[in-house]
Parts: sequence; structure tokens; C-alpha cells
Amino acid sequence: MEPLLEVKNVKKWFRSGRDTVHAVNGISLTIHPGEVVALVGESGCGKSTTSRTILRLTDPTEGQILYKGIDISRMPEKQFRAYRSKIQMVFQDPTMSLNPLFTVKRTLSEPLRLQGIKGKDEIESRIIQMLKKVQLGPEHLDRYPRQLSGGQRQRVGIARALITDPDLVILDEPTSALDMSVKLSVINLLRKLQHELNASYLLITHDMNTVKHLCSRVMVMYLGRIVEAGPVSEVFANPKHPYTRALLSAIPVADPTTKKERIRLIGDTPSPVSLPKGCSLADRCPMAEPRCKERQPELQHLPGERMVACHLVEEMVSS
Amino acid sequence: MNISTETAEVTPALRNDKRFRFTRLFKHNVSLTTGLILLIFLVLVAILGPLLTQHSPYETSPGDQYMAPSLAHLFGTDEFGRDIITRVIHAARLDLFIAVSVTALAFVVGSIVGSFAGFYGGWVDMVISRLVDVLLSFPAFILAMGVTAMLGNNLQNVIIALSVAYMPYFIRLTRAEMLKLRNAEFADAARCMGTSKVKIMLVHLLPNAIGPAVAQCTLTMGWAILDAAGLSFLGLGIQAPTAEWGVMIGNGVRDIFSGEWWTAFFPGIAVIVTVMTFNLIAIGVRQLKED
Amino acid sequence: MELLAVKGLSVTFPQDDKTNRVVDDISFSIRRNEVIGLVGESGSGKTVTATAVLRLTRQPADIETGQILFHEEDLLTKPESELQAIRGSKISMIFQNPRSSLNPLMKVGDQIARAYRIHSKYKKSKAKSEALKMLKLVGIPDPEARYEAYPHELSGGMCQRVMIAMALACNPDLLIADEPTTGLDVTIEAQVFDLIKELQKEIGMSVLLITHDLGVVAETCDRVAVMYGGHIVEMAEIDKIFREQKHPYSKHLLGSLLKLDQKSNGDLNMEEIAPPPIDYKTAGCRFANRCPAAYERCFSEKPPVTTVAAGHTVMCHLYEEGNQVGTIA
Repeated sequence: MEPLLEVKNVKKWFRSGRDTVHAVNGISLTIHPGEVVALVGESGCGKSTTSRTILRLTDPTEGQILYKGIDISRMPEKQFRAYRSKIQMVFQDPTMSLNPLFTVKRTLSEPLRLQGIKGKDEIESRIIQMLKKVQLGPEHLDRYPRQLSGGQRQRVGIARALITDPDLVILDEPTSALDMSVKLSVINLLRKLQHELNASYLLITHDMNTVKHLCSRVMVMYLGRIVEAGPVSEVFANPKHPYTRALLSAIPVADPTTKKERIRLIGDTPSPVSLPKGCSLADRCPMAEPRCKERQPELQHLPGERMVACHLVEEMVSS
Repeated sequence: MNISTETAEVTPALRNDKRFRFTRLFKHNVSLTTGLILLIFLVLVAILGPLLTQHSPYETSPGDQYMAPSLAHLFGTDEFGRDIITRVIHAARLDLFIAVSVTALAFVVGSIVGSFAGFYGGWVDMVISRLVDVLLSFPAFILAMGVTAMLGNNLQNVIIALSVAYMPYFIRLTRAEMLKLRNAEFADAARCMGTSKVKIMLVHLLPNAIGPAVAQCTLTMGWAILDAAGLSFLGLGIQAPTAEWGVMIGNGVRDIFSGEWWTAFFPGIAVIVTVMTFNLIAIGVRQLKED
Repeated sequence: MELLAVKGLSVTFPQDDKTNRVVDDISFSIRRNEVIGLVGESGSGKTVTATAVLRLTRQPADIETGQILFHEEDLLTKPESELQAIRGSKISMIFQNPRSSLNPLMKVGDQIARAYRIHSKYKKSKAKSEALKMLKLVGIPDPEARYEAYPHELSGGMCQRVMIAMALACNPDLLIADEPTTGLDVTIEAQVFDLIKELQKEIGMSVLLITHDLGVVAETCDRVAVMYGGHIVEMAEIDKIFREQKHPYSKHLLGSLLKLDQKSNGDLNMEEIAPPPIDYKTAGCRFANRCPAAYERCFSEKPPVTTVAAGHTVMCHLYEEGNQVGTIA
């Protein structure tokens, strides 16, 4: 099957005064039609920047982004506009991502108008249809964001992203601003809509529970690079990279009787201004060896469609 | 519980709260109510006043020069025997018109220019901001004096001069708001839909950025009244014999020394009341926002 | 022995012409050397409760009634000056946003040293060496260099460690931690909680932890109070809350957590339960109109706090003594 989206060796560096911030340092990923993939990592790991380059909210410094085989990374904005409706985004904070002065109806009619749909009745009927899909009703049409609850706002955000029938939806932390029960029903809704519309999702998050319930494949990012990738069930059950292990073991378990061993990282994420020469985790890794500081490990293929970038794993495989 | 988010949900809802009552507004915000009542009075005077006066503002009556205020002439008469109350009332129309057009022009042009500066940044912002700095380095009144002196003194040029003088404030306010808003997620969302940059700026962001500039309007109205009168007083603005408060004060000043205080006094009161009206509203609006 | 006992605390918050009670007649106590969790979703009144203990509720919130007994002395009747001596020395607090709680113009080391100089009246050099010790204790690498750093030069996790160091500087008897890891990454979050727990054991203090994350509660706390709409609806030891929770709201909260925790692809569908609006008023139970087990009485009469087992209290009509309805799914 032809991939829907291919990101090839994308780098994104920002200038910040005299410094260069290396936000994304050569990441490659592929998303197939109908696939739900997660990109996880902690703040500053470059996951949001990656999604912003795919959406052309910012231009990559290097690398290619192919949508159905066509490079969209350097396409002029006017030409790219034709692809906009096909690649959509659901934002993290529904309070910030909805224009406070627009009613639900106005928010949802804008993407349709931009697609060239003119008829008032057609627009209205499509909006009502979409609202129904996200479990809202016609009574919400004339409400302003402040008149909606957090969960309802996020539903409007989801409706806005899906109303143009996109092939790829980027979900940027779609549940992290929501309370627990609301979070659950939003995950549930996203899963249901994915089955119905058969769009691909790229979920950007640090919440492993959302990943578990929504995605089939996961990629773990650290300091602008992918350090581990593979099917969710396998990566979660048997993480290879020390960072993935630390990340998974840090999630609190809601069971007071299990006292599990935590893999501790030392200190903080290094600054993306001056990247370490070797492995980016070397300074924090409890298992680091001298060579980890010398040479940067490549992303290696492992059996079962898994990939890991760690010197220690390289040996595990070769031996 | 997070108090700050909860209050944030409460305050904006006030605007279309059905239970919003004037009695409460009156009790809590004396400045705004007083200002609004005065404004209604001023507008009524400006609209209806000229229909009710018995005299014409330009009707001279050689026998009635410098008559002190009396029942026949409530505010007295001036050097040509013109009825001062008639002239003050007629001038209200002109002066309010100047204030409104100056403010509207400064507001519209200033906010749009400020939006461009804040939204596009880079050299656009550089050029606009430096220009604003240059304009702000002159006191507004001196600047307006310069412009009228250059363009010639008629009504249209007074309006242009004053709006140029006040525009920098609007540019700065809108630019600052725009800087805060341009990275808002809803702007990104609009871009993801394929909305053009100019449209994002004008349709999505500008209405959200306009608040402080709107609040500035009332203050500017007061300044415009004062400065328009000032320009006429110096002979750089509206010219005699037009019924205008500044012109009347300018002409009346020398009469004060010969004892005919009323020729300058009443137009002066009109200026004070009008400026106070707008300042009260400005204070009231600020208080409303703080509540 | 009880270190802190909160009795019948109510906090009101004026809105327009009305007064809303955001914390309504709550009572709980904290023993020595114990970690208590205060959980609830946004708007449940947990932060207000925590700030009320130190009488730090922000204007215009107002502590209406109640007693806050600390070492058997009521903090609510003490003059402000005495309270100031208690804040930061006997009771310390760490806040949600560490960076905005630190003075941006002062070296972080000096901020910790200052705590020693004010509360322990240490000399300058002694305060500095103690501050350095504390920076080391909270796991800040290269403490000598970090002592000289300003808050903006440190990451969020480091700032929170500095806050903890400051809070612990004077060996407080009670540490109040209000969502201390909001905005921090999971690996850093784990480090912070491990640190709090370790230090708690080491210096033998009590902790009041405010959070909405039940996972954190399970890993850190000894006892838990569940809050909803300004009430403590249930309070019990951690095992009891997770295994034998009684109140319908606790069941809902734990239920959603279990669903999230289960294996993937399970059904996540469940009712969303929003907190009651801030001005919600009722004669009965605040949870009644959202409660699956509510009956007439729940709407007309405020439920009493019932002790169902040793150290396990529930505020619900279903568990009142002599009530036969007391079994719900």
C-alpha cells in the first residue's frame, strides 16, 4: 500500500538570539492510510515542531515531507492550500484553539466555505451532521466557546478538523487539558470517528494511556530524534531503549498494592541549543558506557517491525 | 479549585447576561453612569438644540452688544450682539462632529496599521514602530499645530491633523495586542483550514485585539474636543465667525479684562463639561474591565 | 496524634449579589508522619481548602466558619503576625507553578538561604552552607553552580526542586503541595514525588498533597479525601478507596481510572460528570442530580457524614446507619 505521509530526514532549527535551537534533528516516519500512529515524548523533544512542519505552520530546515508521494514541504502556500483540507489538526487547549468571538456555526462553516461550498443550506446541513457525529446537537450552533464546557469545546475542535473529510488528522495532546471522565469520552469519540471515517491519525502526546487506547504504532522521541518505534502492545510490554523504559516506568500506577521498580534518569533534558556529540541520553542514562558519549547510535531495525537507537541494543541484536 | 479560571468564566458572561440590570450598574459604576447621562444630554443638545433656539448663531444685532446674562439672553451676547447660548448650542454639533471624526479616523487607521505591525513583525513592524516613535516624540498638540500650519486651516485639515496626532496611541495598543494574539492556537487553526494571512489578521485576530483601542476612544474624544478648541483659540484651526467653542473662547478672552467675562466663560464651561463626560466614560469603562 | 485538624471549614466566594460556598463544612485531620491526598476534578474546592489552611485564600474568597487546629491551636483566630511565623517554618507550601512562585531577580540559592535566615535566624555563612546542603538533598546536580543561578536559567523541574528545598528549609511539620508537578514531564514528575516521599520519611513530616491524578495518589499517599462540589464525599485509607470505595462519585472517579488503565481497545464509554456550577444550590446532596443511585431523599436532605468502618467516612444517604438501600452497583 502506498504510504499516505512520509517524513524523510526532517530537521528544524530555530534561531534564538545568537543560539541555534535544534528542535528536530533528522526524523523520518511513515503513516499508511487508515493507520493510527503516536509520537510520544516529553516537552521540548520536538514532537510538536514535527507536527507543525507537516502542517506547514513552519517550514523544515532540511528534509522532505511527502503526501501521497508529492513533496509538500517546499510548495508555495497558494499551491499547498489545495491540500489543507486533507491534513487537519486538533489542538491541545480547546479554549485557545477556538476563536472566542465566533459561534460554533461560524467556526465550522469557515473550512467549508474555503473549500468552495457556497450554499447556505448545504453548509448548515453538513455542520449539523458533523455536530451529531461528535455528539453535539443543533442547539449548540449559536453558542460561543465560553458558553460550552471543556469537553464540548474539544468536540467542536474535533468537528472543525473532520468536517472537510481529511485523510490525515494530527491530534496535538487532544486530551491533556481535560478532566478524567471527559478525557475518556473524547478518546472514545476519536476512536469511533476513526473507524467511521477511516482517516489516519498522528497523535502527539506524552500521555501513555491515550496512546494505549487509540494507537497501533508508537514512536518515542527524545531531543529531536526518534529513539524507539514499534507496535504499541510490544513497545509497552517490552520497551528496549532506556529512555522508553524510564518513561513507561514513571507513569504512576493506580493500584496502591503494586510497588514497582522505577528506572530513574539523572537530572534534566539537556538544552537543544548545544546537542551532545554522542547519544542524546548519555548524560542521564543509568546504563551509559563511554562509547555512548562518543558516537551517536543509529536507528536499528529489530524483528517485529521494531526500531531502536541505542548502542546497547545493537549488541543485543548482533550477539 | 482554580479560582482564576472560574472567575474568567463568569466575567465575560456578564455581557449577555439577561439579569444585567441598570440599577446594579448605577450602584457599582457611578463614573460610567454619570458619563453616559451627560453624553445623552450632549447629543440631544447637539441634535435638537439648534431647532429650539430663537436666534441664529450668526445673527448680529448692533444694539445688543456685550449684554450681560439675562432672561432674554441666558448667556449674554458678544461684541456683535450675537446670542451666546445659541452659538454654544450650535457649536456643540460642530465640536462633537470633530471629536467623533477625529477619533474614528485615528481608531480605524491606527488599529489596522497597528495590526499589520504586530502580525507581520519584521521590517513592517520596524518601519511602523519607528514612525510611531517619531510622532510620539512631539506632544500631540504641537504635532497637530504643525500639520494644520502645513496643510492650511480648515475643518477637514483640523480633523486630519488631530487624528494623525492621536493615531500613534492606537497603533501601539493594537500592535501590542496583536503580538500576544498572533501565535494563538485559533490563528494556527485558521491557517490549517487554508485561510489567507490577511484574512486571519483582519477577521480572526483584529476583533479580538481591538478591546484596548476601543477603550482608548473615549479618552481620545475628550482630547480631540480640547485640542480642537485649542487650535482655534490660537487661530490655527476653525476660523471666526464659525460658531465653535475654541473660536469663541479665543475671541472672548480679551473681553475678560474689560469685564465681559461671559463671552469666554460659557463656551469654556461647554468644553469642560464635554471633556469631563468622555473622561468619566473612560474611567467607567476601565472600572468595568477591572471588575 | 493529630498534627492538623480541620473542623467544619467553609469558604465562600462572592459572585455578583450572591455568595457561593466553594468549600462547604468539611472536616479532616492529618496525623504526624502521614501523607494525605486531596483529590477531585477541577472546581471541587481542593485548592481553596489547601490555601485556607494557611489562611492564604485569595480575595475575594472568605473563610466563613470553621476551626483549623494545628498543634491544637486554632490558626483562624491567630493574629496575622503569629501566622506569618508559622508559614514557612512549621507549615510550608509548594505551588502549582514553581517559576512564578520564585523571585525572578534573586539567585535561587539566596532565596533558600533567606528562609534559613528568617526562620532559623542563621548567620549569613551558616545559611549559605545549609542552603547548599538542601540543594544537594533535593537532587540538584552541581549545587555550587546552581546556587548562583536565577530562576529563568533553570528548567521547570529544577525550579520545583528549588521550591521544595525552600519549603523544607526549616524542617516543617506539615508540607502542603498543591499539584506540584503540573506542567512537568512524567519522568520529572516521578522524580519530584519520589523526592517528596523520601524526604517525608527522612525528616518525619506530614504532607497534604492536592492532585487530580489518582495514579500519583496510589503511589504516594497513606490516606485520601475525595472532594466533589466543595464537600469531602469520602475519606479512607488508600487501599480502601481503591478497593472498597463507597460513595457513587468515588466509584465514578475510580471507574474512569480503571477503564483508562485497562488493556487497550476496551470500551471507554462512560458518563461525563461535570462539577456542579459554582452557584449551584440545593437542599440535598450536591451530587444527587448526577448520581446513578439517587433517590428522593438525596434531593431534599443533605447527607450526613457516616463512619462505615474504622477510619472510613462517607457522606451519602445510602450508607446512613439503618439504611437498607445501602447497596449499589
